[in-house]
Amino acid sequence: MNDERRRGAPEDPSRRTFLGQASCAAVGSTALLSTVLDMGMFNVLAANPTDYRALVCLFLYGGADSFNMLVPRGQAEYDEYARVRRDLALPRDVLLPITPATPDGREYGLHPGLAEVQALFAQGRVAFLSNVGTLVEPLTLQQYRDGSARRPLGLFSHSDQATHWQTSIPDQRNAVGWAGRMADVLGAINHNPNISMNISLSGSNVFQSGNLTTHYTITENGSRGLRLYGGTSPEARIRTTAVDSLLAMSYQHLFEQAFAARMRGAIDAHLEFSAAIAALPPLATVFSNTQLSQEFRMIAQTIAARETLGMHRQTFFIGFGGWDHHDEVLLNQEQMLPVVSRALAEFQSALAELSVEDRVTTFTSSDFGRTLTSNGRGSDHAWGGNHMVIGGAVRGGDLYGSYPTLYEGGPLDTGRGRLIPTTSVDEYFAELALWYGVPRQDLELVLPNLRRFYDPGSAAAPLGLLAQPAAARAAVRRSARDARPRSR
Amino acid sequence: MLCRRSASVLGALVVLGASAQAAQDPLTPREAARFLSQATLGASWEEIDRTSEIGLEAWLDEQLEQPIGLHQPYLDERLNLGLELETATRRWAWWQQVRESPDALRQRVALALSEIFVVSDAVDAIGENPIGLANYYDMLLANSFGNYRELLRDVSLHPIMGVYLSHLGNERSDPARGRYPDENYAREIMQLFSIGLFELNLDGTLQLDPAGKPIPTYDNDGITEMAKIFTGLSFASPSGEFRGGDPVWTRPMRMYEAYHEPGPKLLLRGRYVPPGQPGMHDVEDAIDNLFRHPNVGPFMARRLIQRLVTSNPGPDYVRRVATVFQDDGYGVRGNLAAVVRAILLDPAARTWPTATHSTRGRLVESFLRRVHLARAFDAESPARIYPIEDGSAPVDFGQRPLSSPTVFNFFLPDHQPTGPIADAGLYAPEFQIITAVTAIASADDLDTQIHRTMNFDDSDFHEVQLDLTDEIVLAPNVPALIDRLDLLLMYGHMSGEMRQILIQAVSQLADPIARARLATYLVAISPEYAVLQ
Repeated sequence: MNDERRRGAPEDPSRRTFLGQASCAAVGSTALLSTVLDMGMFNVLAANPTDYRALVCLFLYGGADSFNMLVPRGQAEYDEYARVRRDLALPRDVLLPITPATPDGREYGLHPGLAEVQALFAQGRVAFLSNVGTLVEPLTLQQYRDGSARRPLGLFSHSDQATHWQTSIPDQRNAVGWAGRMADVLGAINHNPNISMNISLSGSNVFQSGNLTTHYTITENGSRGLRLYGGTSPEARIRTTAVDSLLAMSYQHLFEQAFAARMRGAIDAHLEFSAAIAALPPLATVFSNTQLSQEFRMIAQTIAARETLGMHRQTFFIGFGGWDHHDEVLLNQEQMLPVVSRALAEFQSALAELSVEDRVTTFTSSDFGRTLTSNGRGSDHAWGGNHMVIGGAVRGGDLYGSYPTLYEGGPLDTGRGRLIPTTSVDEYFAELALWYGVPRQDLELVLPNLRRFYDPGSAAAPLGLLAQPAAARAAVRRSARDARPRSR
Repeated sequence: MLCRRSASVLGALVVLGASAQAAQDPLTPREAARFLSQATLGASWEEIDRTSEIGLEAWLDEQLEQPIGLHQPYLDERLNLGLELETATRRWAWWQQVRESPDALRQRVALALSEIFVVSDAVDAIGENPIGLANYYDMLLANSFGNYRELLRDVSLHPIMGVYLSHLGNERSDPARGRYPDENYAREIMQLFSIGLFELNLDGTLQLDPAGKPIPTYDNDGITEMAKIFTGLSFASPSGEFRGGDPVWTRPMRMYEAYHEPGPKLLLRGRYVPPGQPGMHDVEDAIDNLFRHPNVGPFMARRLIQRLVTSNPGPDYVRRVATVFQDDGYGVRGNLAAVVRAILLDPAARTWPTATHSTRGRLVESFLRRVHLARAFDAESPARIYPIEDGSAPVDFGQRPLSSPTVFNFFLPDHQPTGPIADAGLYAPEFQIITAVTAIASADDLDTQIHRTMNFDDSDFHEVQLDLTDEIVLAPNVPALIDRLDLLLMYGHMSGEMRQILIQAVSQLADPIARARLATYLVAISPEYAVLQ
C-alpha cells in the first residue's frame, strides 16, 4: 500500500492570501520570490552594503482620543472644539503651540503631555497626519448614509479596526499584515536565515505576519531562549546536552527532520541575537524606566547590531495598550501621553547617537479615533484620528492630510462626532512603504486596495510627508519642502 | 430538492460494524495507543489497556453511544450561581469536558470540525458571548456523528456564524441605492465549508479541462447569487425585529421575509430556486444544492483525514472515505459517524508505520501536545475544576481552540513549509504555526505544565497539575520509566537512538521526581513525539 506516499490534489487556498495563493499551491515559494522581488533592489544593495532602513510601528491599542492630541488653537476653531467636546475639552491656555510650515489658516496646539513631541516638531522631525482611518473606498457622508459605497467591516469594533489598521484591507477579515507582505516581497534582502525582517516587542501581531514570513518576538530585555538551555546548573547542563542530541539525530521522517530544524533554528536565533546585542557597547542615551521607553531602547540596540545580524531592512512593532478611554479620558491622557512623548524623544536621541536618524521612521497607529462628543468624562469608539510620523527622513514641522471642522453635524460627522476619515490608511502606509523601499510595481502586493485612493504609477508621493529614497539627503529635503504639493 | 435524509445514529452503528476488517486482528497495547492518539485528544494508561482488551470495534461502538459532553451547561450553571462569565470562562468548560467527558472521540471530532467551520472569540462580538460560542461548539459536538447536511445547515443558521461571517442582518438588494447583499458567507460556505474552489474527482485529485487547467466550481456570479440566498436572517428575538431586537445567541437565526431577496436565484450545477417561496426554503434548497455536489465527499474526507490521521492522504485513501460519505452502505449520504469510522479504520491509518513510510502522519500541534499530556497524566486540580484560561496560548502555541485569527483557521490545508517537505511536493499544515517564537515558547509552556502547573491561580486548590505518580514509582529503573512513557505518549514507537539519549540524561539525576519530570519533558519537546505517524 503505497498510497500514503502519493500525494493528493492541491487545493487552491484563499483568494485573499495573494502570496500564499502562489506559494502554497501553484508554485514553490522560491520560484515566487524570484518573480516578485525587484532585482534592482539587490543591485542597489550590492553596491551599498550599509544600506539600511527601519520602520517602527507604535500601535496605541484601544483607540486613542487623538483629537485631544492635535487640537485647534485659534480662538474661532478652539471655540468650535470646546463646544463639541464639552467636559473633554482641554483648556486653550495649556495647549503647546506648534507652527506648521504650511499654513491652513488655523492655529494648532498639542496636548500638554507632548512637550518632547512639540520640540521635535519644531526641529522638523515630527509630522502629523490628520483624520486618517480605514476606508474600503472613498466615502462621503451621503454615501455612508444611503449605503451606496462600502464601509469597513466591523466599523467601531476594536478587534476589526485594530486588525484593519494592520492589514490595510478593511473589507476583509484577514490575518496577513502589510509589514508581513513587505517582508514576503523584500525579505531576501537581509542575510539572516534565522531572524525575521520583522521584529515584535509585543508578541504576536497581524501587522508583521506574512504569507511566507512571520515575525521574531523579543521583549525589552531581548530575545527568549529555551528555559535552562545553556545554563550552568547541573540540571541545565543535562538538559542542554539532551536537547542538542535530540535535535542532532538524523531523522528519516521528513516532518521530524523539519521539526528538529525549526527548533534548532529557534534556539540558534536566540543565541545569535543575544550575542549580537551583548557585543555592543551600551547606549549613552538614557531611557526612562517605563516599559515603553525600555522597548524603544531595545529597538535602538537591535538597530545598532544591524550589521552583525545581516539586516538591511527591518520593521519593529510595539503595541501600547490602555487607550480605550470610555471614562476619565483627560486624566488618563495626562498620565499616558508624557510616557509616549518621552519615549519617542529618547529613541530619537539614541538614533542620533547611532547616526541613523534618517534611516529610521517611527509612526503611530490606533484602532480608531474617538467620538468628539462626550459620554460624560469619556469618549466612545469612532473612526478617523490624528497620527504622528517621527524621524530624520520626515518632512516634519508640518501637518498633512486635512484637519476637519469639528462641530457636531459637520460634513464628515456620521453621528456624535464619529468622523469619516479624509485620508485612508492605504495612502498613509503607501507613503511609508515607498520610503522603506517597496518598488512601485510591487506596491499593490503590499497594499491591495491602494489603487482606490492613489495611482501606484504616479510620479507624486501619496502624501509627501517623507523624503523618498531618491531625495534622501537632508539638503534636498529642506529645499524640496516649499515646492511640495499639499496632499488633500 | 427539499427532500432530505438524515441518518439515525442507530442505523449508522449497524452499518459501520461491517466495514472494518483491519481491526479484527488481536490488538497490542501499542496499536491501541496509536489508534487512541488519532481518535482522541490523548489517552491514559488505563484507557490504552482497556482498548487493547476490547478492540477498536467495541471501543468505537461504545464511543458512538456515549452521551454528548456538552459545554454550555457548565456556563449556564455558573450563570445560575450568579457568577460572572468572561471570554475565558468558556475555556474552563472546554478543558472540563475534554479532560473528563467520556465521549473522547466526539470531543476530538468536534475540535476538528471547529477548525473547518471556523468561528473565533478573537472577534469582540463573539468573545463577549461565551454562552453563544459554547452553544456553537455544542452544535458541532451534536453533529459530529450526525449527518453533514444537518451540520452545514446548523452552522449556516447559527447566530455566532451569522456574526462572524456577517450574514446576520444581511439585507436584500436595493439597486436604486447601489446596495447589494453581503457576499461574505456565500463565498465561505462554498470555498471552506463544502466544495472548495475546483472540481474534484472522487479521490480528491483535481479534474482538469482539455487544456489541463483546474475547473472552478463557481464564478463570481455564483457568489452573487448565493449571497441573495443568505439575506433576511437575523436573531430569533422575542420582539421579532430584524434590526434592534434583543440578541438570542442560543437559537438558530430566523427568516425575516421583508428583508429576504425576492425572485429566483441561481444555484450551482444548473439548479435554481423558484421565485415566491419562503426565504427559509431558499436556504434549505441552497444547502441541498451544496450537499449534493460531488465535491463534498472528497473535500470533507481530505480535511478530516488531515485533522485526524495524515497531512498527505493518498488518492486511494481519500476515495475510500469519500465513497463512504456518498453512501454509508444503507443509502445515506453524509453520515459523519460512518466517515469518521472509515477514516480511523482504513488500512492507510492502521498499518503500522515503518521506516519506509518517511512521509506519512501529521505534525501534532504544540497545543494538542499540551492537551495530550493533560489527558495522559490525568491532570486535575484539588477542586476538580479546570480554570485554565490559556491566555498566552495564541502567542506561545500559535493556537487556541475557537480563537483562530481568521476563518482560514490557524493553518491552511495546503501549507507547504519551504525545504525538504515542499521539495517533496508534500503538505504539512501544522508547520505554519511552528515559528522561531512558538518553537521556544511552547516548549517552555510544556516545561511549566510538567514541572509546575497548567495554570497559575491564587488558590492552590484551583491549580491543575499532571499526576506523575506512576512514573515516579518507576523512576529508580530508568529504562522502565522510558518504556512506560514510550507506550503512553509515543505508542511504543520511540527510536533506539532517542531512547539512549533519554536514558543517559535521566540517569544523571538522582531524585525520582526530577527523573520523571525530565523524561516527560524530553519526550514532550522531541521531534519523534511531535510527529504522529
